[in-house]
Parts: sequence; structure tokens; C-alpha cells
Amino acid sequence: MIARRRSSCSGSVRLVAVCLAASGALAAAAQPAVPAAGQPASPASATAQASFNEGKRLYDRAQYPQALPFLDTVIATLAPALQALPPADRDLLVEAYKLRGRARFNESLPGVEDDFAALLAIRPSSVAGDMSVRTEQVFNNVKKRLVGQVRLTMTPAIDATVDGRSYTADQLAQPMEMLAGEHTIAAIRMGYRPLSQPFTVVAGQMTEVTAAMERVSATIAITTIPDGVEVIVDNIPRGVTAKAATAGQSEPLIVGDLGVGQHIVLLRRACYKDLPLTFTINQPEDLELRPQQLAPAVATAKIEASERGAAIFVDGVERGRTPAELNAICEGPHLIEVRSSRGRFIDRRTWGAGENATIQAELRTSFAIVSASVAGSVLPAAFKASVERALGPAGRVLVYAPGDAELEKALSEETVPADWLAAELGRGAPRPMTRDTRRDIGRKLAARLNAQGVAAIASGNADQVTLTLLAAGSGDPDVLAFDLRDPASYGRAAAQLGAPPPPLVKPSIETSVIDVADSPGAAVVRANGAGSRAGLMPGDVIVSLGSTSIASVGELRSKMMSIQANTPLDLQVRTLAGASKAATLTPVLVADTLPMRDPTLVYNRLLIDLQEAIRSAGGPVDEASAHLNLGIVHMRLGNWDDAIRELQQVTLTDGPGVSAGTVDYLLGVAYEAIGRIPEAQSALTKASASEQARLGDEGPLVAPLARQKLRTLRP
Amino acid sequence: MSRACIAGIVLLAGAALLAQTNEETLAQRQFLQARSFATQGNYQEALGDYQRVVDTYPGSSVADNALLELARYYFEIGGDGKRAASLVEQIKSKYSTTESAPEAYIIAGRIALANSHQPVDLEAAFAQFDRVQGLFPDAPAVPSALAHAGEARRLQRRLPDALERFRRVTTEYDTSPAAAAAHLGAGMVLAAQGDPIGAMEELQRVRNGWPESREAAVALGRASILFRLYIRAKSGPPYALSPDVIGPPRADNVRALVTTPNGAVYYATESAVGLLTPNGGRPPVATRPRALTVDRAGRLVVIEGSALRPSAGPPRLLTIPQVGKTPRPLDKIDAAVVTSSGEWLVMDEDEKAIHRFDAAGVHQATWATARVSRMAINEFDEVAGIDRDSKSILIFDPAGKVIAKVAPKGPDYEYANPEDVAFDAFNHVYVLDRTAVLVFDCSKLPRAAAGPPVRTPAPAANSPIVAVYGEAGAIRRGSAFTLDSAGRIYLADDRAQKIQLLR
Repeated sequence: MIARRRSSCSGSVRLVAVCLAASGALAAAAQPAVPAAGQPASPASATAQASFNEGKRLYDRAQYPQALPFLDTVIATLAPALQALPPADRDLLVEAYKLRGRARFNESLPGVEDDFAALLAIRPSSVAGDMSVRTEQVFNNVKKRLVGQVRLTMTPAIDATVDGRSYTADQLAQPMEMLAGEHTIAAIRMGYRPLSQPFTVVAGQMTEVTAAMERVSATIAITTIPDGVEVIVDNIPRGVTAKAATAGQSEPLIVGDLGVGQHIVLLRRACYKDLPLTFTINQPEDLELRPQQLAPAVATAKIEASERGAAIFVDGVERGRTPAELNAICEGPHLIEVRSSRGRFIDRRTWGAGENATIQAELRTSFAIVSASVAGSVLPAAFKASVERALGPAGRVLVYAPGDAELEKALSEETVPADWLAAELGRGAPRPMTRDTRRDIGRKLAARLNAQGVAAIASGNADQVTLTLLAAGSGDPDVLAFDLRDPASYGRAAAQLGAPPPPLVKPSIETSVIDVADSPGAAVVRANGAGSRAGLMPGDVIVSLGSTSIASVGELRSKMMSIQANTPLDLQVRTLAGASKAATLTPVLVADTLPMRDPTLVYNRLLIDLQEAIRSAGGPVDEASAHLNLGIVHMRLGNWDDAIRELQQVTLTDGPGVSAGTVDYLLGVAYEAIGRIPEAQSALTKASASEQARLGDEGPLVAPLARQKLRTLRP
Repeated sequence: MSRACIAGIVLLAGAALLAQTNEETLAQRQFLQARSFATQGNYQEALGDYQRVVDTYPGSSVADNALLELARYYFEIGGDGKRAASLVEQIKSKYSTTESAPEAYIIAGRIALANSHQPVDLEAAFAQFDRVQGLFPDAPAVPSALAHAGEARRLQRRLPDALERFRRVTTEYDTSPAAAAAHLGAGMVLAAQGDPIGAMEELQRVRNGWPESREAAVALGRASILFRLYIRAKSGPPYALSPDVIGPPRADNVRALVTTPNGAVYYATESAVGLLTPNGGRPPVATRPRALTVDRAGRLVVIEGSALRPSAGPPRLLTIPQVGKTPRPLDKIDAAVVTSSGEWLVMDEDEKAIHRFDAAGVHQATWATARVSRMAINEFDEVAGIDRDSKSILIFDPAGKVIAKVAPKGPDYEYANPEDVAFDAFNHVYVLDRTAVLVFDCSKLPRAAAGPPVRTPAPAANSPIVAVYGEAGAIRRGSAFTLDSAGRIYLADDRAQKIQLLR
């Protein structure tokens, strides 16, 4: 598993940064010092380059006096910034000194040796090159007076710096020319004590220098398959393995400063099983682990949904459309969501490696918790999770906590504070929003969160919860209260939330029946519609329907719940005279209405249910009833314009029970609520003429209600 | 300010906060304990604990609730309306913004209704109920207040107003507990407005929506009454004689029958009082009962000699004061009815007037100058009596003035020997002739004088007779009768020597 590693920069290991950086710098320094004519080494030296080119041109034409001012310009421009010069400018400066020295020599001017000395100070290894013999002699004399040779022997043979300049181990192994005087060789290497050693170069001589680094700790090179693995040594994170140029294993990660003794390495990467390793270091040295392969830790989820094409999200990232199989779910806790415009499904669980599960995603009407206000030390996130869990069994409705980032983004984009819904509905709100404003914000927030509505939760003690629900399009919330400590309490809330909507249509005999003491059966007091067609008369007592005997109105109503509309049924009645009478009754499917203010109904949920009911209506009565009841729900929620729009789409004829007169009456009420009195009068007048219409299938007649309203209607 | 001073203030504030928290906790514990006692029926302990909450922790969050519980107890169980009124006034003044305040208004209204059904009390009650929706429009008590307001208006005979309030409950709060009462009230109004079919439908809604409720049972009885009178009577006899044996196998000389509000039916012969139904407990001992009636609490009262003997409590000896003489006892009381205010209206065979006594039996005044043999009273404190001389049925208003009269002969009815008279829940007047029962609609009776209208609005003037039951041989010689809450008639037939049930 573990082996000694080659101690060199040339090995394929990532060593200390200085090693690689020094190589690059030294390579640049070794470039031949030939300025590129017409190509300035840097923008700042453009003038110097141009001057040099002109000086060189004149020099080459033997116009030495004319060349000198240009070379002076080059030197005056570059020399003051010698230490900061880029390599190209440095080369240019060297060449300028050399050319000026030669020009001066040719014109017998002073300063020749100074120029050569300055040149060698910058680059001691410079040579005379194509100088004339006499000029070369002067140059070599100057060099012999200023420059000596040195051979540096590093142990171990690693890169180092000399007077701050970097040299590779190979360069250091060759004799180097340096200015006579004091110099310092320095090196840093993982596992060694840092080196800084002075030495002296004597002009015209060869100096031998040996520099030995002291080993103080070990290093280990760790290579992983795949890359991107976090390396934790003795509980301390030491880095992440990098991607290698070639596919497969990672670049090795060098971990240093390892003392003698046993060490524990933990290799960790998301979606892979943790790999713990133990190794022992016997002495300070460079070691290498053979490549370590991590085993994947993923689960497979097969997702089947009630709706095809719904988007699947894992931890907020879209991963496909239903139905789908996700076979790379990393082990650990995840939130799987299935979202569509009609609802949402969430699954929070901790997945184990190799786990394979099928999720039946039943999309539910979703309300995103946009506000959580809780007293004490309870964290809002924990509070939200508790509420989400408590209301989980609410079959058709999902109250869930959206991701923090998603929620913050939605709230900030709508510029509403996090507690707007709860605070605004709380007691003593300084300036409550108008219903229209609340509806507008709720609708936009729900859309941003891909939910059907929004919710706020609040608690003074983290147990007694007030849940506020606002469907998209509603201006008036429903408020439920429950106790998180009491399973019965939150169970009731969940049941209320998830209860199916009351039936909107039902089979009816369109005839009023009552219970009469001492008279078993259902006594007819007003026969209309289907009952009338079957020959029922006031005073008749229904004693059986189909094969079921009827002892009371309650039994008749139960029976009606189980029969099919438009199917003839045998009917037995007892007449006022006491005689038996048989008839055939064909119940009809009729619309029914929701109560306007039923504390057991969650109207904000019904708003969404009924919009769906309109889309999926199976027949004209279903559709009419869905529109009618959606209108009623809008009325309950104060959406008067929406209510009128829905009611105007109801297509019911005039007749007994819930019929055109019912719609006219409700329209009259809605028009009155928004001050459209002429329209209210018109609608109520029509309703008052519908003598058989009722407010509900078993509700009061609307005609007297309409007449009474007309009496009190004031412009 | 020095650090020590600041620290002292912080400590004091902390201590005050802690004390406040402790006080609230203690108050809540005491309140819950009281409620627990009340649930167990241990009212003595409950009252003590509630009172301690009120006295010791008046600033706690449950002080108003404790006051409300006390008020409820004194009104509903203790029968101490005055004390209850004082408690609700405390809530209204000291805790006017709490959730108990709307309930306090409702109790205040109910106390006024319980005082009497006189106009001043009805108006006072209505005002209390009506304030709830104005002051606390979102309170859970609103539907209950509306239903009570409707009832007050109904008793004032302001029927459209009453119906409007009942309808608000039944359409806007149809699943609230108050809706059952509102449907019931709406049914009563519809019947009074001449729409018995609508009334029956409304009453059935109570049974459909709240089948196990007390109101459902009441609705059944009332719908049955209307069904007999307005459906069955249209094409046949409204009643059928029950084949069941009711009461003793032989019942001679039955002088009176009475039904108590809990459904117990008693009868009185010349020498005893008996019970016909199983739900009345043991009949009282009486040696020479002359008549039977019920008091304001719905308990049986035996009229014997010059005394009204309630089934619980001391008898009330009735005497007429005489100037300079010893008060004259009433020895031959034929009939006595109690008004909604608890006063007694008493008729003695030897008297030429109906006398008014207070609840304690102290003579107040002559109520009406008339000689009637039997009397019945309705919820409006209107009294029906059989005029001994003309055999007419006289209808008196609450002040004792005759406002209507049923003559023995009309265009489509006739009776000869009226023996007894009764009201049903809809204020139909039932007259027992010797061989028939006749039912009249008071609203259609010719009014005797310019008094307040009996119905608002007045229905069309047509025959007042609603139904007649007099099947050949069914009633041979009726001597007394009573109606139960479902309109069943228990009828004593002297000739048949038995008590019969018409249903």
C-alpha cells in the first residue's frame, strides 16, 4: 500500500509550490538575451526598444557617435528599475550596455569597462560573443576581475534559490558564474527544516559549496479514484485530490508534516463510502500510497406519479420527469419532490447505499410555509419541520417547508418580509393589507414557489400552532389551530385539511319529505321534479325505495347516497288513506351547494379543488355545479368579481332545487356586496320569480330570500 | 445612575415579570380545576374556585372566563338571574374586549328573556343580542347572538325581522351549533306567516343537520303538528285513534290532564293524580285535585282546595284580600296558568273574574273580568279560556283584554259543549267538545276589539278552523285533554271510562 517516493521535483508529485514556480522562473532566466527587434518586451519599454533599434542600426553602420545617445536613452530608461524589469527588458538592458561599451571603445571614449561591469552585474554568465579581439580582451579583463565560478551541491538534490533567484536542481548541479562576493542559497521542502546558507564567490576562481537540508518529518502522496476526495489525516482536513490530466485516478495529494508513528487517514467524498486507512511512519521520508479506490454509495429511486410529466427534483435540482428511475441518489438525507402546476409531492428520507425503493408520488395541493414565527429557543426550521410532519397525513393537501434559498429569493423578489402573512393577520397589525393586496402577494409568492398557495405558522410556545392558509387567488385566509403535543389535535387538523370536498352533485328526488312522529317513513310535503313525475303527492309516505325499506328521512337520504341517478327504482308509498301505492321513481342528478361559512371546511383548499373540478367535470351538471360552488367559495373569500365571473358561467335551467334561480340569487348577493345595485336588483328580481329554486338541494327556497333582500336593498 | 441602581431595577423588573408569570400559571390551574369540578357536577367546589380566580387573579387571562362561568351557573343552574346579571355586567365593563364579552351580552339577553315575554323585556333582550354582531362582528358568538335576536323578534311578532336573523344564521353559519335553533326559529316564523309547508321543510333541516340534538326532537314534534293540521287534515281526519291502552284500564271522572315540558303526562281524577307516561317520576299524592297545571320551571302543579301544590316546594294558598275583612280563600279553583314572568292567573268557580297572583301566591289584581272554566296560555302570554256563559272561547291578551273570540258556531264548524282548551306550539287553539276536537288558527279569528294584531302581517281573512277530529264514535264524551310536544292528544273519555290517545 505504501512505498517510498522519489525525492525530486521531476516526479509526478505535487510538491511545495516553490519547486514548480522556481522551475518556471529559471527557465525564463535561461532564455538567450536577444531582444526582438520591433517587438517591445513590455509596453513600458517601447521607447527603450525603439531607441535600442535605432542605436543598433546606427552602430551597424559604424555611426558610433550617432548611436550613443540612443543607447544612453535605453540605459537611462531601464537601469533605474533593474530589479523589477521583466526578462525581455533585462535582456534589452544587457544588450544596450554591451553595445554602448563597444561603441565607446571604438570611439576611444571613457566608460567602456563601466558598461561591461554593469552588464556582468546583471548577467555574470555573459560572454563577449562577436566583439572584436581588442574589445573582447577588455571585456574578459573586466569579467575576470568581477566574476567567479561556483558549484553548489544540494542534499537532497532539489530546487533552491540563490540570492532570491530560483534554480532547478539540475541547474544547481552545473558550475555557475556569479559576481564575486557574498551569496545565499535557500531551499524549502516539505519534511525538511528550511535551509538558508551563505557562501562567498571569489573573482576568477571556482568555489565549491555544499548545502545539506535536515529531514524532520515524513510526507505521503495520496492518489484516489475518483478525484475530488477529501483527505482527512488524524481528523484534520488536509486537502482534496485534484483531477488529473488523464482520466482515472487523481493527481497525488502530498500530505506533509507527518511525524513518526501511526496515522489515520479518512478518504471522503459525497456519494461514496468513506474509506478509512491506517499507516505507520517509521522515519522521516517521502512515502506514497498506492491509488485508493472509493466504492460508490448510491441508492435507486423509482418514481411513479399520479401525473405523467411532472418534474422531479432532488434537493432542489431537477432530475427528470415522471415516471423515472433515479439510480444515482447519494446515500444520506435527501428531499425528493415531484412538482406540477396541480400539486406537489415530497419525500424526505435518509437513503442507504444500495437501497432500491419505489415512490408512489401522489401529488397534493401544496401550501408553502412562507412564514414561521415561534417563541423561545426553537429554531424556525425545526418548527416548520414539526408542522410539516404533523400535517403529513393530510391526504390531499401538503403543507411543506420550501428550501431556505428558494424562499428567500421568492420573498426578496416580491419585496415582502418573511412574516408578512402571519404578522398582517395577527392581532393589532398596524396597517392590515387590503384583501386585494393580500391576494396579489399570495398569488405571486405561490407562483414563484411553484405551489398552489402559501401558509404561515405561528406559535407562542412552539406547541400551540396557528396555521394560516392562503390559496393563490384568495384574499381571505383559513386559520386552523392545533397542538403539536397532542396527536389527536393535529390529527384533527390534518383530517380537516385533507377531507374530500363535499359532493357537488347528487341524485335527488326533488321532493320535500319530513319525519312525522308515529308514522314510519318519509312523508311528502311538497312534490316536485322527479318525485312529482313518479306521482308522489303531499301526504304520501315513502316506505321503501328499491329493495330498501325506509323508516325515516335519514334512511331515505342514506339510500339516496348509494344510488345511481337516472336509474328507475321501485317505490312504495303509504297514502293518506292508509293504502299502499307502488310507483317508479327515477332520481335525477342535481347540483348542490356548499355552505357559505362552515368552520369544518377549508375554503382556500376548496378554491383549488373546484378549479380542478371544473377542468375534470364529467358532464354538464358537474361542470355547472363546479362553477356554481367555485362562485360560492369566491364569495366566501371576498373575491366578489371572481364570484360573479364564475356564477355567470353556470348553466342551470329554472326548476326545483339548485337551479337558475339559485344562481340569480347568489349573483344578486355578490352584486350587492360590491355596490352594483342595479345589477343586484335585476338578479334578485329574477330569483324572486323562481318559485321552486332553492339555496341548496335541501335548502330554503330562494324566492322569499330574494324578495326579502329586495326590500332591504339600498343604492 | 449607578450600576447598583441599574442592577436593582433589572432585578425588580425580573421579579415582577416572574411574579406575573406565576400568577398567570396559578390562575390557569385554578380555573382548570374549577372546570373539572363543574364537569363532575361538583358545583360548590367549582364556584369557589371560579370566585377565587376572579378575586385573586383579576388581571389573569382567565378572570373573564371565570366570571362567565359563574354567570352561566347562576343563570342556568342556580336560577339566580339577578346575580347572573350582576356578573355579566362586570364582564361587560371590566373585560369588554375579551372573548367572554360577547357571551356576556348573550347571557344578559337571555336573562331579560327569562324575566318575561313582556315588550320591555323582549326589547331589552333583543338589544343585548343585537349588540354582539355590532361590537364583535368576528366573534364565534355571532351566530348564537343572531339566533337569539331572531327569537326575541319572533316573540315580539316582528316576523320579517326574526326571519332575517334566522336566515343569516342558516345561510352564513349553517354548521354552527346555533344553526339548529335558527332553523327551528325560522320554521316557527314561516308557520306564523302562513307557510306551513315551508315551515315543515325548515324543521326537517334541523333533523337532517343535527339528528341527535334536542332541537331535532323538538322539530319532529312541531313538524308532526303541522303535518296533521295542514296535510293530513286536507283529505281526511288529522288524527287517528291509537289502539294502545293509555293509562289505567278504567279511568272515571278524569277532571284534568296536563303535559309537562319534559313530556310527562299526568291526569287527575276526583281523588288522585296519576301518570300516563313513564318519564314523569312518581305522581304526587292528592286527595281532591280539581285541576292540573305546570309552573314556570315546567314542574307539575296540582290544584287542590285553595292551594297550588307544586311537585317541589311549599304549596301556595291563594286568597283574595277584602277590605276590612279576612282574606277570602279560593276554594274552587278550576284553572290556573303561569305567565312568562312567573305570575299566576287563576280562575275560581265562584269568582266572576280571573285573578292575578305573584309567584309567591300573593294576590296582585283582578286580571280579567270573565267567568271561564278552563284556561290555556301560550308563549306570548295570551290566554284562552272557555266562557262559562256563552261557551265561546275567549282569547285574552297579556293584559287581560279579550282580543278574539271563537264562537260556538262558524260557517264551517260548530261545537256545543266545550270541555277543555289548549294551545299547541304554533298557538293553534284546540277546543275539546264532548265528541270532537276542533283546531283553530288564532290569526284568523275575528278580533274582539281594536288591540294589537295577533299576527304580523295579518293573513287573509278566511275560516279560522284548521282541523276537526270527530270520527263517529271515536270520542263519546270527552272531559279533558292535553297535547304533548308532538301534538298528540291525550283525551279523557268519561263515557268510555278511559284515556285515549289521538295521534
